[in-house]
Amino acid sequence: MKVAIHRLVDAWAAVRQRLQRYDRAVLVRRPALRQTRIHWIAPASALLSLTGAVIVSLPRVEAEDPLRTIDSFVWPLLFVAVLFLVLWIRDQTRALVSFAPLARRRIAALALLRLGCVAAILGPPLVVDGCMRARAARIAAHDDNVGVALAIVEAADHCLGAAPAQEPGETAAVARLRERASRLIEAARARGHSGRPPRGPRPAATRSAVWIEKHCHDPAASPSEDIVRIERLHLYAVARVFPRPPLRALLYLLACAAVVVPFLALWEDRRGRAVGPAVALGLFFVVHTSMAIGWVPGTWSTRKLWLASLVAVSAVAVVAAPLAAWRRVRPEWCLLAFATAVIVAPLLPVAIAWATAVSASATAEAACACLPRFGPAEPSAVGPRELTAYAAGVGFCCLYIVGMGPTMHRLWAAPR
Amino acid sequence: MSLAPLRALLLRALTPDELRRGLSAFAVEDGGLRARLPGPEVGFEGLVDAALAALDGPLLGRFLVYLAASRPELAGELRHVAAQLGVSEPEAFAVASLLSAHRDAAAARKLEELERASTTTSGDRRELNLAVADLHRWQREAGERGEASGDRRVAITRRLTNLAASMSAQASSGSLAVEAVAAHPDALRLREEIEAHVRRADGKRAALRLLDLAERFGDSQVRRRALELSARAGTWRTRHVFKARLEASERREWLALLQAILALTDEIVRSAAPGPFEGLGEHWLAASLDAAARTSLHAGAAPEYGPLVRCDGLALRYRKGGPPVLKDVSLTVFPRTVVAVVGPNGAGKTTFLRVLAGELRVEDGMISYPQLDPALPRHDDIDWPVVRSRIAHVPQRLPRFRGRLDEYLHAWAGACGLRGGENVDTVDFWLERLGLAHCRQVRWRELSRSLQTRVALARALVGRPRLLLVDEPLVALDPRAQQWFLQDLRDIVSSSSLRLAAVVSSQHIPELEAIADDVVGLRDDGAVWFHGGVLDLEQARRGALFEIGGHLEDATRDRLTAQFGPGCLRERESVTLLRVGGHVSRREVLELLCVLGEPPVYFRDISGSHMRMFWGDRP
Repeated sequence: MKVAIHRLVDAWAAVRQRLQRYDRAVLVRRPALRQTRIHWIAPASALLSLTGAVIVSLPRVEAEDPLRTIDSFVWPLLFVAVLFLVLWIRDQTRALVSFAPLARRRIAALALLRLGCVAAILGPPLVVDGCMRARAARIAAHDDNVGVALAIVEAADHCLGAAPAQEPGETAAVARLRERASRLIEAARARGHSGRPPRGPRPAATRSAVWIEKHCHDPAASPSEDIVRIERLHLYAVARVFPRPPLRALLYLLACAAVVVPFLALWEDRRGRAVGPAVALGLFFVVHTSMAIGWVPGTWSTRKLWLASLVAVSAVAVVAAPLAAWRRVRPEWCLLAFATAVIVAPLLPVAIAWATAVSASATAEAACACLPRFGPAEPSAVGPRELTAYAAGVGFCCLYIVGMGPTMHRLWAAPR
Repeated sequence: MSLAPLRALLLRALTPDELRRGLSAFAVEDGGLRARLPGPEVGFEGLVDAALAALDGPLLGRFLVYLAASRPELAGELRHVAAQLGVSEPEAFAVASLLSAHRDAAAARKLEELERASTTTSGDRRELNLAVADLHRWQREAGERGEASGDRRVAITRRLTNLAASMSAQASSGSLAVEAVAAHPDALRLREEIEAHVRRADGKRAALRLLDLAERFGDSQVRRRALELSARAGTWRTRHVFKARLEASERREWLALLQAILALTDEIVRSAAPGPFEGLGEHWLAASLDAAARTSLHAGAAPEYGPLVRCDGLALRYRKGGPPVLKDVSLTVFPRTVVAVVGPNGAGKTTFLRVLAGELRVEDGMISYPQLDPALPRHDDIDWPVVRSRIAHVPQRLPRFRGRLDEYLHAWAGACGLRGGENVDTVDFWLERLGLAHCRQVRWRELSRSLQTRVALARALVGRPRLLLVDEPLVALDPRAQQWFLQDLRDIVSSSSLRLAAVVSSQHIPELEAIADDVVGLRDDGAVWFHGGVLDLEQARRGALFEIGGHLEDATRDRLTAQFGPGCLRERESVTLLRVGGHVSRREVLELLCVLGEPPVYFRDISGSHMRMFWGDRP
């Protein structure tokens, strides 16, 4: 036992020494990589993602496999990732930078490396989530679950056909359920399943049909477990709404912060009076946006006004910063314009995406029965428009930093 | 030529056994001489006569030197005898005589003069340096043990006398040394310093100067070897510094270390060729240049000797209408110089350094960085990123670091653009040079204030600056650490390949004045009290000012007042100031104080020091 422990200790010491050597080699040869810590983050992220994917994907799929693990496993992982990301951004603000002129290429490389770090930090929860959703899709395609979905479709057709005189609002829930069940069946067919009703007795299918029949007459009846399960399966396997809109916005803003904050902290350099107003303005717009969306209590009757003011402030700041540098106004004003541009302008994609989502949610599907809610903002899938908006926001941050970087660096180095 | 005086001396000072042993040892390889000596049946006089008959020609001179080396107390008499006999090696007898009288410092100086006068090879010089180092080591050990002499002392004396004899013979041969002409003058100067440190048995300081030499003139391989030697010297010093007596093996190890230092020094000096202007040093402007030198001068090689910073009439207030912090301050800083900025608290020393560092904008005056600003000839505006990247500012409040020291320095070197082997070499060099090699793995909180200051200096130097600004580095350092820090700073500035200059602010005025080339004294109101070298201040003085510590008796005070006039004495806290005319010397005042009673416990002549500023004196 003692010998084994000694061997373990020796092995650990050897591993540690190698890791230190690796760190030293990166530090000496590629200081930029070492500065962003990507040489540790990327391998750790890959290892975590691989481990998570293996753990999730390897067990055999059964029809009755629980689905709540997505919530219970991915969310803590994402919380840890976000926390780590925030700490990492703070760490990046303390990076050692010389006064020597900073080339645009170097700024761009740093910005891209930092974006890479963000991707690596958020990678494990996203990979694990993807694997779990793929697993949910396989569970949904199981014969038993397809059978339940078929029974729901049949029973819903029967209900909707038998009670045409009822109020549309009363049958809406059944219609929505039918829609989801049919999409599940389509997804199963797409995966190569027959989509025919399975042979033999299926208690879950029978129970679902009975519930729909009951719901047809009594809309207030609470959903059965099978119905909840089918809704979950639809949500995880077909709708794929993760992460939810507020969280997506948060991740986007964190990505922007990862690019902007380290540079801003460097060039701010105890000129808090110049950057303070920009931060206050950014906070104002964040709170206003949240109120408008309904994430925090309040009214959004002035939506057009705040959106217009956000656009106006962003446009003015984006143009003013280079103009101020060109006209050689006081460095504090230049820094204020620059800070406002990089803090406020990235909020535009969020505001637009959320505003679009809110206006769409008024006419779109109602809430899913099984998920907790933040308010009127309903979970919705990531659309190409939203992705484009976020990509444009991150791209703006990178380009603006690269474009203005040498000027800001020069202003930073100049005496006050 | 009469041998009678020598015969009488031998008969008087030696016993037959001693003479026989001496002759055998002297002519150990000369079988003919031993064969000509009579047996023990012959009396002492017969033995002496036979010996004198056998020692003819040059053999006689060698025997006299040998005798002086083995019996240093006879050196004086032997010298006279040698002079009468026409033996042409009087310096060897002088050295032996000095050593026998325990005038070691004079003997070492004499040997040094001999070495300069003779055409010694590097091997001879090394041998001499090692012998003198051994003598110093013996003195230190004897002082610890309270010994006056011993076998080892005799052996060292013999060795030094023989060396003196051989150098004296070479000097008389009259051939010229060619090495000094071929090597770089700075390399030769550094070698002299290293040899001086070796002779003082200060291996660590010699190794540090060797590092400077290697940094300036050696390639990476040579620097690596110098680093190894310095590390060995450091280890050796840590192990043996307080040891009263070295074992024979330890002494051999120590001498081998010194020998290795000297050997590497010679190797570097041999490979250090002078540049086009190096031979001229700082006086290149005044020197007459040949055509090639003129071409190089016009090509822009010479401006590196020009000023690094030039500021004129600087004035600054922190807010409009506020009190002036700097008022009409002018300064020019040249490469390889140390400028001290002194003054009372709140005089604007830190502000001045921040202005030089490019942190603060002045409201009036001109500042330029002729050698740091590449855009200077073309544009009026200073290219601050370039200029500031060549300035290293070590503030009073030292910047903390996270992680381990070597990681921090590697990261900073990387941020300054050093990659790969260059990064490693630079960090290793400065860690060793500043005595931080043993702290590689430590964190900030584990370092003492002295080491933190050194770390800040290491960080500054890793970035390869041209201008080093150090604000109050001596605060919280003990006296030894202060001396060590200032000496390192002086050495680095004067011999580093960076060709940098340092501006240092401090309240430790005498210590700083000892190493500074130029001193700026700032008054309370931010104006300049005096600007110039210590000698300039000495010349500009109108009277002499002395600090006398301790209590002065009334009688003494009255006598001093009667001697130097009323108002010559002023009480300032625990110090009495004595102001006298410029013609009164320090010696005169001290003699008077000793005559009047007990000599003072503390006495300092501050006539040529900026300390005068603190006592309300005018330059």
